[in-house]
Amino acid sequence: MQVNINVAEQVTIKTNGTGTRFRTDQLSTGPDKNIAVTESKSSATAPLTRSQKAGHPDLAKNGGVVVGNKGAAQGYPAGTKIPPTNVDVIRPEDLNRP
Amino acid sequence: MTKGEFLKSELLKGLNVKLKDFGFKLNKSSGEFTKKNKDGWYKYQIVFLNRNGGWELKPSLLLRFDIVEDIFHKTSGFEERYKKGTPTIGTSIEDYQTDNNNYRFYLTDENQIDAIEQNLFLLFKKIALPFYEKFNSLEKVDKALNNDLEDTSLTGDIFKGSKSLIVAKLIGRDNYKELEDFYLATV
Repeated sequence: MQVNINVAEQVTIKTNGTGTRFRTDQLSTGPDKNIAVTESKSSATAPLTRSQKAGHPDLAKNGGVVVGNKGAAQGYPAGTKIPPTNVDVIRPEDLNRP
Repeated sequence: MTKGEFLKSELLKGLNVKLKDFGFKLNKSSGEFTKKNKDGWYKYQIVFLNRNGGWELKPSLLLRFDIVEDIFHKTSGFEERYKKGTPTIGTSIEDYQTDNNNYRFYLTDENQIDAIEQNLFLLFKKIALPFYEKFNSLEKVDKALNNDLEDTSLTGDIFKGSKSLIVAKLIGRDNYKELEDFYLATV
């Protein structure tokens, strides 16, 4: 099984369209070499934050930029551009799927 | 000041007293200790991850060669304000070490500060300082980046090709063209 690499945690992203800042649980690079943005929720109903609700669709449409240096050691320093990317929201039930 | 902010501030303050003797200066807001040198800088970065009721600390190592970054930013598209902050190579200590030890620390209470501070200082001396020494020239960085073309652990995947090629060109590597062909093919 191929896994994502260069995994950074709690990275903040500013979207290009509305300028919304939201924090994501993981920023990584997938086997296809595309950036993956992942949000993990602890239950089926745990809500996204207000900024995540606003930011996720904007990132998917317009892309964004990394702000803050929490991902610098994994190759995502502040200023790194993120192309339009869908945020993958993972919930516990997703982990049981084959 | 919240309890979390207080814990973070006290820990950084204590560590700063120790790292000052090695020429490292604290930037409190980013949790980074920086030492400038003739080529760029070294950073000992303490990443503070929010966890329920406290922090999880992940110490990381960053190193910059201005000559590499200045070339990189001619075409990087980075906004001006970010250009001075990009490292040439970096890694977390847990990724750099391959001994299955846990290099993270959990800070939830004031009475943990001294022990964590000691451990972070120990890692600084045993791992960070040798890391900066190990990669203190472009020739050494070139070997690390261009002897294993698939390894992205020091640059991340996005910038592996560009940073590796810039370093290779600067030191005049014999097989530059071969490297260029490889990295262009993997973009």
